[in-house]
Amino acid sequence: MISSRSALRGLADAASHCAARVMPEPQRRWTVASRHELHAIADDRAALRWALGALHTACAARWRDLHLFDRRTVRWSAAALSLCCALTVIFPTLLTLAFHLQRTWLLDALGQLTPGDDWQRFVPLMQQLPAGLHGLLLAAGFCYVLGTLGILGRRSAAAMAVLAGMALDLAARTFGQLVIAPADVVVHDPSLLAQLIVPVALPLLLSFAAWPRHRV
Amino acid sequence: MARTANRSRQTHLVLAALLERPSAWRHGYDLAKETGLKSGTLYPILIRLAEQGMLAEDWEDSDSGGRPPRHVYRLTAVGVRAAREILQNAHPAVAATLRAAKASR
Repeated sequence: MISSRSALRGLADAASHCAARVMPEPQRRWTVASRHELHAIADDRAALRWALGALHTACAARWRDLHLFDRRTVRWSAAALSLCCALTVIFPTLLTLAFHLQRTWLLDALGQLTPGDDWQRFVPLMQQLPAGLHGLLLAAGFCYVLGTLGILGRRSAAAMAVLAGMALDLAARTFGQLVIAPADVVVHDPSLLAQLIVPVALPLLLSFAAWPRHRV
Repeated sequence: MARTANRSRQTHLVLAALLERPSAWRHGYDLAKETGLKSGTLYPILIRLAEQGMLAEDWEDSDSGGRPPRHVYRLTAVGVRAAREILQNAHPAVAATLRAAKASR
């Protein structure tokens, strides 16, 4: 018991040290203050919660201090990514709509964006996809579009819109797997480029590219 | 991007706690226990109030030997006036939350 209490206190101390290093210089005294408060907290669990809260405060302050989205390049790139996510997510619904409306020219055009340029192999899926799934996809696309507009307009709510889009997208993909499996349609898994590099690595690279400007 | 005004329930709790004894210096942990707020919520509020000129801060030497000094806070004169104005329109649940937090200590 004594060793576990000491471990918690050690973690609290480490977290508060980290908070003091992460916090931007003009506000560092606040994390020093929260660190000194640890000595007044007798309970080790409470001390760890206190220190983790201070670390959260420091990370949020550091993120704001980076002013990443003040740079037009970063802002437009993030907005472009969000728009790409919107188009990707509503693509199945567009294709299904074109199929049911028998718009062959649109089917051919959209089909060229699929692997193999053949939309006809998706017909079993288009006939079986439930309306609820299309609703999820459209809702996700709408959130991504809102996120795009929010990023361009430098609204703080843009982050929530993009996160909501990602959550709905994930729900739609999970639900969609239940339909795709029995339909016996080969759906190629997205490449590493689409899954990881474009949505995650590219924004991080852009963020790091933006950072040196604000270290002066 | 401009920050929103002091309208959150959590900010009202902190202002109400500081306004109870406006001339007394308060410690951060004591404020957290009184308002029921976690440090991750309390400190951003204190930082913002200090930046707005509503909060004065100081370091208080510890009575116990070997312990580091503690940061203490109280409302400035401007802060007292502003806090009274803000809390006039605050939700009644703020007072209830403060009472509940005190009772649970």
